[in-house]
Amino acid sequence: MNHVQTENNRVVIELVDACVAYDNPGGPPKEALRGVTLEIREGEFVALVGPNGSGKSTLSKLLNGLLIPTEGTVRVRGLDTQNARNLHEIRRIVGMVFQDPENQMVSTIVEDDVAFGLENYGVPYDEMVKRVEEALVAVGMWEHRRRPPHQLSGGQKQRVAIASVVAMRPHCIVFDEATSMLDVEGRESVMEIVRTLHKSGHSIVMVTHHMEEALEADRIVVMKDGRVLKNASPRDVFCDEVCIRDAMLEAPIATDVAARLVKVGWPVPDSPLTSDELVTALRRTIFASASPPRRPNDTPVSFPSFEAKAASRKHRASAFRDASDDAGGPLDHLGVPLIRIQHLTHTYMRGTPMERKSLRDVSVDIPAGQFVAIVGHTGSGKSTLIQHLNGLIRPQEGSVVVDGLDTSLQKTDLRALRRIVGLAFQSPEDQLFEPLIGDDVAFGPFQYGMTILEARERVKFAMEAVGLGFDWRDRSIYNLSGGERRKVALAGVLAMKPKVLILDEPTSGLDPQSRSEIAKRLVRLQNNESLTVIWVTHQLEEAAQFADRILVMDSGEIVLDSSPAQLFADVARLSSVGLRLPEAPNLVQHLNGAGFDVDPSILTRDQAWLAVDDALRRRMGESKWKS
Amino acid sequence: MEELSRRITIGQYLPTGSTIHRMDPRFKLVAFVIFIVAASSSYSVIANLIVFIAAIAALALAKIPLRFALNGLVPAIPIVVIMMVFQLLFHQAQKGEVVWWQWGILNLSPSGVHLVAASVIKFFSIVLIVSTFTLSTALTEITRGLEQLLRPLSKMRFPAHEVALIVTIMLRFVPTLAEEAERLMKAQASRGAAIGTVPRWQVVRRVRGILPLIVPLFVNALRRGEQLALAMEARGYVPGLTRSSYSSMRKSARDVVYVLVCLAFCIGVLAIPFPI
Repeated sequence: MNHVQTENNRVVIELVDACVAYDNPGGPPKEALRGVTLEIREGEFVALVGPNGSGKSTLSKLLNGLLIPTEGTVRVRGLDTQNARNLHEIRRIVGMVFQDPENQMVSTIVEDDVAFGLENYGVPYDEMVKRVEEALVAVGMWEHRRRPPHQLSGGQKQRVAIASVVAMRPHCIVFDEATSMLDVEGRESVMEIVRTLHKSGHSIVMVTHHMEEALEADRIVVMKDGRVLKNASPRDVFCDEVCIRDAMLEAPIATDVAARLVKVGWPVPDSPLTSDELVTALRRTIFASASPPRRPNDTPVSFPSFEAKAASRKHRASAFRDASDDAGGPLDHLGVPLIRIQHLTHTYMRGTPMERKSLRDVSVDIPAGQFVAIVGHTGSGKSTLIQHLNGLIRPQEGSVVVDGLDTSLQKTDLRALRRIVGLAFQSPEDQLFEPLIGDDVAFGPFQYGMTILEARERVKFAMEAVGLGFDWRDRSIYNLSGGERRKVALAGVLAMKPKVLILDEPTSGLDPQSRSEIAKRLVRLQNNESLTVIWVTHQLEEAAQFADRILVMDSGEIVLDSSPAQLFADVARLSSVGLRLPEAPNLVQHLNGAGFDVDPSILTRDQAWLAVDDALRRRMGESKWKS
Repeated sequence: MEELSRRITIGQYLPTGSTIHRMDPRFKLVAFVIFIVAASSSYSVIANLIVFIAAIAALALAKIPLRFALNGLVPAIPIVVIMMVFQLLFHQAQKGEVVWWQWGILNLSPSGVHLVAASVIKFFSIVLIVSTFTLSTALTEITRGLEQLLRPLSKMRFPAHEVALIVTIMLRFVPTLAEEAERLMKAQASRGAAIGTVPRWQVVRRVRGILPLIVPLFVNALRRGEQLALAMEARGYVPGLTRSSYSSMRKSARDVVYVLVCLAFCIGVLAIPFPI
């Protein structure tokens, strides 16, 4: 080599033309990777993105020899993973944090778990004590060192998993979708540690679906169908619209808004990635353009779909306001809302030392046909609340009445209630048990004694509602992707044609495309089948986009109850319960803080760029008028 | 629906930092076994009372509240009461003994009362001793202690370390699987499954009703196993390789004294011929 190798560009991991093919009984081998050539250098932060099934996970397992390429080579600091004698050393150099926090802890106590890897390398006791403390302090879990894993939150478990890796002093750490099962708080705490590790010189490889995480990387590797589609800086990746579309990614909102403005003729420079960059770019846009671009005749000022949605939202919002005006106003045609919860209080593990109040005097009415989002941190009582709605938990104090059925009365038929209220827990795909799709979806209808013909009709309805064709009914569940299994599980709930559909984090762990597809299908169901939807989420983006009404929960209480627009206007209250604004309102707030006059009632991306366009035009008109 | 996790008391550990908590687990295990032998081998009421007092003393030494130690006892009370009554009534009176009451094969005699009194005290002593041990020793300490005690056996190719690791992983996943079972019960009930509402005599329906729980529970457990194996491999675990140990089991003079006291106590209780 001609140039002098500096500390900074020494290669840690090197893949040359790596291929992986899995055995596929009764078919040709399944090619998960088809020739990947890649280098990970010292101190580099690389994000690995791509749709589900694109080979990201397979690739990440090559990096420390958990998988050996069927063709091509992978070398870690010059050690070939093909040679089994190298593997022990390779795994010390490249550590790995996995997706599910639950399934990577070996021991019954945090500090022992951190020591597990050190024990495997025969590190002497005194050294071990030092390193375990160092690692646990680094992830902020030192005070929890004696606790058993099942008492920790997902984010805390993941921090322990990171400490376990850090204690081994690796050169490179691979995060295989390590944040995808965490809530916002947990994800942020993990990202904070990732940043610190990167700063202290570790190479980071981060497999992720979250584009805001990928944005922080030095380099993004985009995967598609087992190949590297693009390997470039975040700016180059996110400005490449073809790549974004092909790999089903989502550009950051600032980039997206800028790109759409460019399309209608604004000379926005530099392809901004963050809101700060967008502010600078927009200022320069105003400087650079003498007049606003002409509105082409075929481009409507705003999309009809947006206006329709806004109108229907306004309509529904007013319906909601009627409902919440509790002063004896008209609620429903029967005078009673579909769901009425009054003074509901619940204590977990009542009468034991672990006793904990999970609901405190909750009262709320939900009229039929509303799309309600419940947001709040893990442990805020969301899960306890929804379990009351189909009688999985009976009220200890207070009452829950759904469609006339009062669960506080012992004589109430809970199975009848559960037919009206469909509930899908988080990761509902874990509860599938029949080998064939159709059989699993038909489970509910058969439980309620429907005939085969009725059940068949229900299965057809449910499968089509979630976007799986009815002809999928005879396929095996075990060959489906994660997103497809999720859809089957949701169909299993829809097959009962409930009046109320309750979903706990229905989109978590999916890629951006599958996320928005499921969400859109639910909105359609809500409209077509006049379903009442209760959606538990910690993603305010989704709540902003789809809900008529947002309930914010904090330590067992409903602390805020309003329409999305009202809620996001009150930033102070939102942050007082530890929630951050969704991306679109956040961007608008940022722009307005910098002196732009953008409509503050914006909730979604589609609205955001139009509002910015509008603000720019007004600004230009204004400045022209002044001069 | 029940809170399953509420019923699981395995691995409950109450860190009070007492002298008992700080004992070397190996010695604590040995002392524990000796203590249990003393409690279970004598039929004398006085001997059992002495053991009971000693058990209370041990509990106090471990700074564990009595209420906490007896917590696990509550569900067992009906069974204990029934057994006591049976033992009392069915106990055969000894020859030449005064029988207070008799009806068919049922009778009430002083030797029956004596036996029941001794067993009840014994029962409470054993519960207290077991609670003291488990509440004062973290699970990892128990498994590590066991591993060390079994280590001499590994010369005879007994996989002491692997056994300890298996036990640890098993204990580690008990709460996880319990939570999962609870979640599955709720999920299937939400889809109309008649869990817990089918009468007992409808065996076929009951068994069929369990399938929606058992199948996913097994599938998920296997998946967890696979992922855990991968995670262990990624952290450099190679079966059979010599490992170091993150445990500072250092015996002190105090540990030896405790074990000797237990031993002397046990021999004393068993050797002294108490009148009753």
